[in-house]
Amino acid sequence: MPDASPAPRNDAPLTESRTFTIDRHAVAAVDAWIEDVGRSFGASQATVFGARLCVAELFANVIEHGIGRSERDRITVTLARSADGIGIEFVDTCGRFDPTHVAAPVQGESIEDAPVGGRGLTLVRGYAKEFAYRHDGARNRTTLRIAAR
Amino acid sequence: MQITISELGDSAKKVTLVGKLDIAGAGVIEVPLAAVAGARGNVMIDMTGVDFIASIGIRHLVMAAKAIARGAGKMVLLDPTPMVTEVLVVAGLEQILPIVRSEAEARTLFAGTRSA
Repeated sequence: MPDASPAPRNDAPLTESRTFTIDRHAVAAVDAWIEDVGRSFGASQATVFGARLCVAELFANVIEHGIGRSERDRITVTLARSADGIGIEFVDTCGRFDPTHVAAPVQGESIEDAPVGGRGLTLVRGYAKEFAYRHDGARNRTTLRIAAR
Repeated sequence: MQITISELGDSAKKVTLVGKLDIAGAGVIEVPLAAVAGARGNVMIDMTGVDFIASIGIRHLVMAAKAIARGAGKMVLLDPTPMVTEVLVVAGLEQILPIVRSEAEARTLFAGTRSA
């Protein structure tokens, strides 16, 4: 939904980056941080919502399915502001996993047929204009672009 | 996330959710929502106070709707915000989890079900 975008704060940097532990408590911290940064970028509420949703889904994926995850693993989220939206890099130190190659679940036509879960990456694909992955030899690097709305 | 359960007329339950239906919020609603869903009858989930929803929240709504359907009931979502509605649409659920815009509309929808 289009809404009035606040002006970017004059002192807002072009990119902001923060590292988080991988646990359920950190999900709220990441979300609050994205809201703050998105506001400082001058992005609309709808654009920031898309960024929050995509990162929440990637984070939940790591929490639930992170391959070989240990307490030492971390995620680092980088947000970049641009005229056409928000760029996101989501980096995790868990085992190699490419979220762009996960097949979407087959949607049923009734509640009886509908799958219970598996919609997270469907949402990411729906909200992100770009969705790419590479492994740098040590970390999973997922990049997204949320178009300005 | 806060969850409140009340009666909606004689034959349905109203579940009011307020807050973020993210991984933490989903953990809060999981048990009480499953209990309501397993008790047979129609259920209206008041979504007006939900300002964020992620797939894990959707998962609990779908699980509840499935349980309610098994008991010949119906579950509807009351007036989610435009942004939450969009998430449900992108997730492909607009036909599966019916959205109503008023309690009266929910009652009308429930009137056709066996448990109403």
